[in-house]
Amino acid sequence: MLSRVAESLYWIGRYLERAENVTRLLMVTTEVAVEIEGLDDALAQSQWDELLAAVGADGGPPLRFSQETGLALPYVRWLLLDESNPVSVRRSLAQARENGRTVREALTLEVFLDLNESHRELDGLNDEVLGDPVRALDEVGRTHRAIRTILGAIEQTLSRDEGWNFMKLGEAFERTQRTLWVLGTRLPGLESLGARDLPLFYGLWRALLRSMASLENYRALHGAHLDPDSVLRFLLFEPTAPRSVRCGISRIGQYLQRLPSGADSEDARRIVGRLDASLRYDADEILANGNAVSFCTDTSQTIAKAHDAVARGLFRV
Amino acid sequence: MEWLREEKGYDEIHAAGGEPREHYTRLLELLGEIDEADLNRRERLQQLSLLNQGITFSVYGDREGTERVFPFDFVPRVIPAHEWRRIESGLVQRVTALNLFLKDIYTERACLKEGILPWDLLLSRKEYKRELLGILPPRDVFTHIVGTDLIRDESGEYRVLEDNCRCPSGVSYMIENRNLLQRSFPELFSAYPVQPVENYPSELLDVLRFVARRSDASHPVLLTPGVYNSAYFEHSFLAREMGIPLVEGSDLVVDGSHVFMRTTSGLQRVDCIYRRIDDDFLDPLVFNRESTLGVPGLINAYRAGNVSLCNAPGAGVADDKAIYAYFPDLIRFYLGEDPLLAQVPTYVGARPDDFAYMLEHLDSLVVKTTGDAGGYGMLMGPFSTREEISEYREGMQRNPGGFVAQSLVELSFHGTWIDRKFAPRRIDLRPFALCGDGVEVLPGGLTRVALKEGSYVVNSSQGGGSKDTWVLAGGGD
Repeated sequence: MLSRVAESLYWIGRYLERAENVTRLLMVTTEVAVEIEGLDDALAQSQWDELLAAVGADGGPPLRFSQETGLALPYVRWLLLDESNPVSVRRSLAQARENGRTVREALTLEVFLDLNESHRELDGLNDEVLGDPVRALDEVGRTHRAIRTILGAIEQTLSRDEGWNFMKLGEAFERTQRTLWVLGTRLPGLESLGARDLPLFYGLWRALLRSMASLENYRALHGAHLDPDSVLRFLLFEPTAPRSVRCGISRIGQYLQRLPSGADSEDARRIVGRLDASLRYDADEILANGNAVSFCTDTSQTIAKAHDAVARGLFRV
Repeated sequence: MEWLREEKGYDEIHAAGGEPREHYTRLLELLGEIDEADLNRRERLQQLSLLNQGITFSVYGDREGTERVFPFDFVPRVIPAHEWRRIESGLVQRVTALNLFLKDIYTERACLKEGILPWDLLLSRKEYKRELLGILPPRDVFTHIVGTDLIRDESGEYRVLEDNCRCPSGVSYMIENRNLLQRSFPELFSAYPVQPVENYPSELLDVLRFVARRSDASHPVLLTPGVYNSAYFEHSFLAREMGIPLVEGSDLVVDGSHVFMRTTSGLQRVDCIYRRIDDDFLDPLVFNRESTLGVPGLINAYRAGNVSLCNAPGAGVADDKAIYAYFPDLIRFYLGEDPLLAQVPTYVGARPDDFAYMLEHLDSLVVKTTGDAGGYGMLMGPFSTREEISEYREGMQRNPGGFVAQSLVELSFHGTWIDRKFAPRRIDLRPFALCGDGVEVLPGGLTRVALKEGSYVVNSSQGGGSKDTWVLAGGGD
């Protein structure tokens, strides 16, 4: 497969995952912030600040939680639609679609149609729609469904060949990083809140699981009782949870193993292999230090090195 | 619903008395059964479908509408079998002669020695690449894909307006137009034996394999200038339909006179390239040094016989405006037969009698400079002032050989759905011929239509649209 095509497919996987993640985080944070607002305005504001940091959009214009509307319209606009925000859903979908246009021969008609349509629909949204809180939230939900439709088309129609492998590799990189970034930004706040306000405390842990599409999965394993340590272990080490760090690293490793012979992926495999072993066998040591946050930061940097190794060995032949 | 008509030019749908021609009768009945609201609804769905499928072309330097839909008119153009047989045999003859001509001018140059074509005329063509003299492409095929533009004069006779021997485009729209019409107006097809066009990509792939250097184990690629090229959709479409890699110049590298593509498993050999990049941009080492679209060393690999290029470099000279004037004679010279398709009479300034005629009739002629393209340096006699004509005349007298002239040609017109009416609009026809193991003409083509009232310009960049083109099978005349 052409290196350029492989790279584009990798980025389609990443951009789609990013668009899905940002949309889901936006939905969950909106609900949580509405719930908290009035009880603890500073906490509500911090939910938004953490979200911006977790998606890498904290370099944007200063935003304030809007108390007049009781809803987070400025954030919805900034994260869903703003073209000057490099991680807005609109930008991610546009990038995925632009990459799709350059490698359309590697996609099925279904994938391209869904990609193109969702991009066009989001592009057609205007500030008027987003000025109305109910319609705005409707649009966020609709956008999330549209993205899941694209992912469904990929799942249902794409051949499980090298191109698919690259797309999934990109998805796994992005997803694993997202979990690490979300944990890295949310954990300090959760820890400082402590047991100060128990209903809010558990509400935020529940929201953390929901923002990783993991609440039901967690309950199926541990029951309805939310124990912060179990939640953290679940999101870091649970092998069956699709958004846990361990699952993500293991998937990255599998996709690297499946690359064609002759592909230069030794560096990336070595980095990911070490990380995989550590996540399998060192869980207690990692948590015993009491510093999950620095583990998240370090691991995220290691994964970025693995990405660089992939780009060096496979995309820039 | 009313069908408006035009005074000048051949009416494709209606005969002189106003009644529909036989091959349009049933179509008009079927369209008449659909009410206006339904026609508009279907037209909107077509538009949406084109956008959603990304069937667009790019417009340069236009940020707002960088991708545009090529407007599609749902009233199909119908060509009866007996008319098509004439077009088809005429094109087979023409494409055969084009290839014999190209082989001749790059090797023996018999047409020059025999005086069919003047030496200086050929040698002064920019597209005549002396770097390629003596190099024969595989199987002696120079122009594998030819798109010849045909128009119909006032008597309804098909005439060749020009050949396109470089990278003719439009074939993807022809195929997508058919898909679109079949989905939105399925009932129209029930009454007509319309020949399918969807086989084109497979036939094109056969041609690429036929001329590939290792034809048994060849993996052709399609070379595109990239996503910003106006025909990018077509490049992507054809690569997808043929199942071959779509490559950009930077994906290819020449090493030791062999061409390779950069893959995730390292460099992989390429032996046949369907290139959609003009000669001048193919190889910065040989042609345009500024080109970043091409592949350094590509022409060297081609010369060494390690890669096939379709169409072959240097083939563009065959569609030159001045050489066109000599083409009827060239057909007679190479094939010993008269041309089956008429041309538009063309006067060549290099011939003294022609030049005298041109000077006398400037007010009724369209004069073009042979060196320029894209309508530059042109005089539209019927629409010019006396001063413009006399000024132009002075320029002509300084360099008679640099000019050709044609009478202003009337284009035929065809009913087209515009503002809730079937209005007459001028059309042309670009059929596509493939030359590999023999010449094949695809039964169909791209009918382009000038959507502006009174306009003769069918180009997509200037308000042109297109129609589905139905070539009827044998029994359908």
